[in-house]
Amino acid sequence: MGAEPAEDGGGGVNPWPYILAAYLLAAFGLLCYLVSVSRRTKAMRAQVAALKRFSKDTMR
Amino acid sequence: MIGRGLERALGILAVIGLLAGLYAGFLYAPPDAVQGEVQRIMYLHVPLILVSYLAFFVVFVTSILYLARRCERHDAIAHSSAEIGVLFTALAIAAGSIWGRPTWGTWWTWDARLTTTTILLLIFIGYLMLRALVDDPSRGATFSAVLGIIGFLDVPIIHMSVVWWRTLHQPASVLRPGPSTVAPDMQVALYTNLAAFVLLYGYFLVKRVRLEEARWELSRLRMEGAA
Repeated sequence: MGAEPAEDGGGGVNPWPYILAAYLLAAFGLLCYLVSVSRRTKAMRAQVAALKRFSKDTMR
Repeated sequence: MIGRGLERALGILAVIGLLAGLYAGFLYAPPDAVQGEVQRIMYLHVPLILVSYLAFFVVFVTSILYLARRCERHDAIAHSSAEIGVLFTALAIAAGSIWGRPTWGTWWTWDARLTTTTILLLIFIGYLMLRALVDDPSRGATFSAVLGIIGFLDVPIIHMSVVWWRTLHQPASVLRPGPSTVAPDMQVALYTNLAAFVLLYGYFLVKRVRLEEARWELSRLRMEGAA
């Protein structure tokens, strides 16, 4: 006969703050990385566009 | 390289996979008989660390290819994959630490698995620093390719650490010979999350390589301007 699994693993600790902390931290970290890559790419492309404009102007 | 449509599809698939993973991890899979609800952190922690192994394996392969062929694309993939690997390893260590507090009674212990994983993280943080510090991009790529190859050798040591040394960390339950020790319902949740994180890694990699492509174009334009 299997006993009902303990909500807290038998340790008397509420597990949900730990579960939420782990998942929210991961979500925050992944989201920050995605935003960082997007912003760096955007900034790099803006520099490329500015340089292209500048070289076109100097060619005239 | 991968087109914009495929990149978007990869992103959408990753989001769908992550939502399915959350459903499977929180609603489909039962709580663990011993650990209770807190074991649900496994559906985050294990995929994160396994995908970081994948990321560093990609660094290993593309670094060898770069040293053999000197192709910039291989270097860009290695650089991008190392950055994503560092992110995933750091998050896996953080999630493991949070899981350790209610189950082991401590946030951290100098256990063989934890220590070797931290060494892996430090090696690849060093890899990223090396790339940033060396002025000549070609020399930086060569040095970091060597470090990327050596750094990956820590992955099999991490995997075998629970066999070679007496550790607090549980033995491997996924990448092991013989049948998995995880219950079938939990396996569904675990593999759903693993697939979702592989898709997310693919999406991040495509986006990060695009940044490198923009960087190449910028340096090419600067060289043309200087000439």
